[in-house]
Amino acid sequence: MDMFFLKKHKSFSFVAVGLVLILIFLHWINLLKPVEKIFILVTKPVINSFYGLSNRFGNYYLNLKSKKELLAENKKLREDVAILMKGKSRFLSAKEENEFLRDQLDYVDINRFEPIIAKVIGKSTDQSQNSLIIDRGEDHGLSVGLPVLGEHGYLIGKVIRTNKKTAQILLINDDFSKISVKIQGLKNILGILQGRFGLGLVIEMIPINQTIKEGDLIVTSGLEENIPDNLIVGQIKSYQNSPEELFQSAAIESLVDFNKITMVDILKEKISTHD
Amino acid sequence: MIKIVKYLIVWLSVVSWQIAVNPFLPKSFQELNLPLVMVILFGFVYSKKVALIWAIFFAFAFDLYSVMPFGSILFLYVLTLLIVNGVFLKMLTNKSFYSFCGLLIIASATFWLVNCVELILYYFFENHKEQIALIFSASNLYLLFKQIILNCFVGVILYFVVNFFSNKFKAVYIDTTRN
Repeated sequence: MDMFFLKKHKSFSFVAVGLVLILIFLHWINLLKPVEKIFILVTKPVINSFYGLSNRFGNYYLNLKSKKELLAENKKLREDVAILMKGKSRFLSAKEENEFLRDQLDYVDINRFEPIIAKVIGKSTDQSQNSLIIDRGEDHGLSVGLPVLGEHGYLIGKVIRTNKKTAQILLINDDFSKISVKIQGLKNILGILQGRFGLGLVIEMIPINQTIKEGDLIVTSGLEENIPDNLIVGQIKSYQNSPEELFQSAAIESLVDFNKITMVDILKEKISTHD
Repeated sequence: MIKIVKYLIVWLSVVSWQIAVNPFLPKSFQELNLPLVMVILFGFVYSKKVALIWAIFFAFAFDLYSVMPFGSILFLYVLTLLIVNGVFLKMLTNKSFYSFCGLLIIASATFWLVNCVELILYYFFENHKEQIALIFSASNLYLLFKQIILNCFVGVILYFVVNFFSNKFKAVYIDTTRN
């Protein structure tokens, strides 16, 4: 009897694994594309509304849990800080751009980029990367590598995968994320901003002879394709250096709460009509 | 037709829950794996074939919204189901409440382990080897513990719901005195 069931289990296992392999093969040769399209078409609106509902309930829960005044005050303070940082960034950016213009008469104009507004509809279920799913895709002009901005125009990630109607963005606090940045005001300092286990941000490889301090604004360097310069990333929270090391590192704080992102802006380069 | 619509609603709700609600719950509840609990429940109540179909449908949708290579979540669910089915046939012979709880614990642990293996392979080939050490860290093991507790808790609730509405687990007496 046992043998009978085990034999049955064996053949069941072969069928199950075979089915999975067939599906992977069909996906690989793009024969599964129409089915995948239907799946996304059916699931996307439902996922979208579920996300909206969960957000509403989440906010309701938060309101119940915390005192309303405290929340309002916190929100106002955050906005004030963001406005101040924006102002600081604009001032420093203009100053730096002027110098750069005088030097080389060539700079990247941020007006070259148009924002595409998208709603976050979910999160990838696998644990490999810290990524969000948005409701805009190739049909809306998205492509891999475009920068994604969150609240107050802060850089929060990059597009890493696109479908026709949806796309996935890798958040900058993920380990896989690497973005070339500079410290605002000290234009020569360039470093690579990396995520730390989905919890924080660090810049490594900052030359030891460069002076940095807490509160310095971190912006994109503009060295990467598709990503313009001077997009705010955050500010230096703390830094580490020792005389025997060649480089120093800094921990960066973003004002964006990566767990509560609901809307994003994707910057896409405008197609020039003058050429 | 009504049956298909019912199945579609259940499938859509579970997929949407896992993608759009679960990751944004308070930290302590994020480890719940509702699709896995459903697959085990369907396998327990109906048959392994039904469970396989549900596993493939759930995993296929998750694979479409995943960063990992296509098929990794399909393999994750199907392999978990096969291992759980093997354990059920070899060790747990009856459909009691305790064997269901046992299956949920085995399923959660297997899912976690297979997921770890897949992540190791993924990080290895993506050249993020520093991440591999974190997979078997104490905090990740704590997540497994949390996942087992949450899955069992939700599984038990669903078990009693099924038990309330159907006779699948209830003792049946054959009345031989009647003609």
